[in-house]
Amino acid sequence: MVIVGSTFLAPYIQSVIENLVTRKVIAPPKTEFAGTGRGVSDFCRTREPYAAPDVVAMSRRMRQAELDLCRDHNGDEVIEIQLGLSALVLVARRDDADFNLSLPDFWRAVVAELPRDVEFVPNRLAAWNAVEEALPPLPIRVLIPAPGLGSRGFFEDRFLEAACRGIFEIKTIFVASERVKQCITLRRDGRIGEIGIPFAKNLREAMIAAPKGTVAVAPLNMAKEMLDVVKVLPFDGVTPTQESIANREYAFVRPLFVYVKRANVKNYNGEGPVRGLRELITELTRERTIGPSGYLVKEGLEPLTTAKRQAVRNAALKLETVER
Amino acid sequence: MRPNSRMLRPAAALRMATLLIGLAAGPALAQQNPNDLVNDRPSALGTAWALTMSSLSWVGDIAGAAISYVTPPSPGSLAASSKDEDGSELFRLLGLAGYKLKEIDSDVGIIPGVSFKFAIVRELSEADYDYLDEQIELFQIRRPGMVGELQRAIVRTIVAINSAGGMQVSDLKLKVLPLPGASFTVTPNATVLGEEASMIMRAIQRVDRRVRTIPSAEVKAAPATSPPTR
Repeated sequence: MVIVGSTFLAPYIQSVIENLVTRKVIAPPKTEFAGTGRGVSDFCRTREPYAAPDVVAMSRRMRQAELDLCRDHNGDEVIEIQLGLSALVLVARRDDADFNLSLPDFWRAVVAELPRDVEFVPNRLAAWNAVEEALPPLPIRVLIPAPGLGSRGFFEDRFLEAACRGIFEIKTIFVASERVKQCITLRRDGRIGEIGIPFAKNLREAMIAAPKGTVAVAPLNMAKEMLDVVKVLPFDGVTPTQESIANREYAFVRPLFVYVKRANVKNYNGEGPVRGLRELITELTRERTIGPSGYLVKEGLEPLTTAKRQAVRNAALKLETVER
Repeated sequence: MRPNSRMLRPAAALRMATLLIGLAAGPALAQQNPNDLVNDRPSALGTAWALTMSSLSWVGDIAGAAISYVTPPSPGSLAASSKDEDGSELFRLLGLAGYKLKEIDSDVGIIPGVSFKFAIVRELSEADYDYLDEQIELFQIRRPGMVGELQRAIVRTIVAINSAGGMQVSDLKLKVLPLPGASFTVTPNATVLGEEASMIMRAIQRVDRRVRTIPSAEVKAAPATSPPTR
C-alpha cells in the first residue's frame, strides 16, 4: 500500500497507520507526504497497481478537473472519504483587550501594501484603531505560521486571498500570480512574527512574551491547548466553536479528504491487488477515529456533524465511488 | 265605452316623457321601480355599453400581450431580473470564476432573442479554484433542481477548460431566448496582440521604462505644479 498527499494531513494519517500496524491489522505502508498537488497528480497517473499510489490524503476536495483526469486513468473507481475539518483561529493574550476583527481589517493590518486611489502604497498602519476605530488603541503585532508549514498555506489561501476577493484594486489584476503576490505579501517592518516548528511550544512561549495587542493565527486544537495563556477571538463576527465549524458558519475552515482507488481494494473474497485498503477505510471512518472524542479529533481534527459522519461512513464501507 | 282619442294624447305624452326621463335617469330609476319594464330599458343599454367596452379592452389586452410576446424584455428589465435568486447565484458563481457581464443582446422580431455576454476579467489562483468548487457544492445543496444543475454545468465547463492549461474561455454567451443555451469562445492563453493593443502595450512599456530610470531623489525634489493663473 502506498499513501501520498498533504503534509498537513500527514500526522493524522500516521496516527491511523500506527493504530492499525500496532494491532497487526496491516503491514506498514509506504508513505510520501509531499503536498496535496503532487499527491493527487501521482495518484491519478495510472490505475496499474504498484505503479501509482493507492491512497491520497488531501487538504481540500479533489477538483472536478482532477477527478475527470483520475476517471480517465482509473475508470469510475475513486472512493472519497471526508475525515473532518481543520480550522485556523485568531488568539490574543488572555489579559488583552477584546478584539472583534473582520477579515478586511485583519488583511489591512498585515499586508505590505494597501490600495489607495487605484495605486498601492506601503502599509504604515501602526495601531489596531488606525485600521478600524472600534479596535483597541494597541500596536499591531501578528504572529503567523512560518513558511513551509501546512497552516501557512491555509492562512494565505483562506485568510489573505479570501480578503482580496472583496478588494477592487486587487480584483482588477488579471494575472493570477501577480494578484496573489500583491495579496499575500506581508509587511516587513517587524510587526509580523513567524512561528516555526514545534509550533505549539513556540507559539506558547511567544504569546507569553508578547506585548499587548498581539494577535496570533493558530489551528484551533493548538489554541485550545493553551487557553491558560490565550483566548480565542471571534473573527468576522463568528466565534469558532465545534458547532460553528461543523456547520461552516465559521468560514476559516478547510475540509480534509482521503481518496482511495476502489479497483485496488480487496473484496470480501480476498480478490484485489492491495492488502489493507479495506481495513484502512474502515479505520478512517470509525467513530473512535473521527467522532467527537476520536483520537484524530484529540490531535486537532474538527469533527463533521453526526449525520455527515454517518453518511461518509456508509458510503465508504459500501465502497461507493465519487459521483460528481 | 272607447276612450276619446283626445284623452289618449296626454297619456302617450306622459309615457314618452317617462321614457326620456328614464333614459336620462338610468339605472337609478330602474332600481326604484324594478318591475317597470320601461324603466328597465336604460339599464339594459348601459350593460350593453359596458360589455362592448370591456370586450374592446379585452381585445386590446390580447393584442398587447401578443405584441409583448414577440418583443423580448428590455435589457434593463433583464439586468434587474438577473438579480433574482437563481440569476444572481449564477452571476455570482461566474464572478468567482473570473467573468463579468459585458453585454446584453436583445433581438426584436417574430422569434425574439435575448443573450448575456460575459468576458474573462481575471485568471483564477489555486485558492480561487478551491473556493469556487466549495461554492458550487454549496449551491448544489441549496438548489438541487435541473436549472441549478445546468447553471453549475456552465461554471464547471469554464473551470474545466481554464484549469486544463493552454486554453481559456475568453467569452461566454448565455442565451435565454428563443432557446436557452451557452456558447464558449475558447482561445489560447497566450494570444498575439492586435495592432492597436500592441501599440498601447509598447507605449505603456516605454512610459514604465522612463519612470523607472528617474532617480527617486529627483522625483522628491521636483516642485509641485502650481495651478494655472488667469
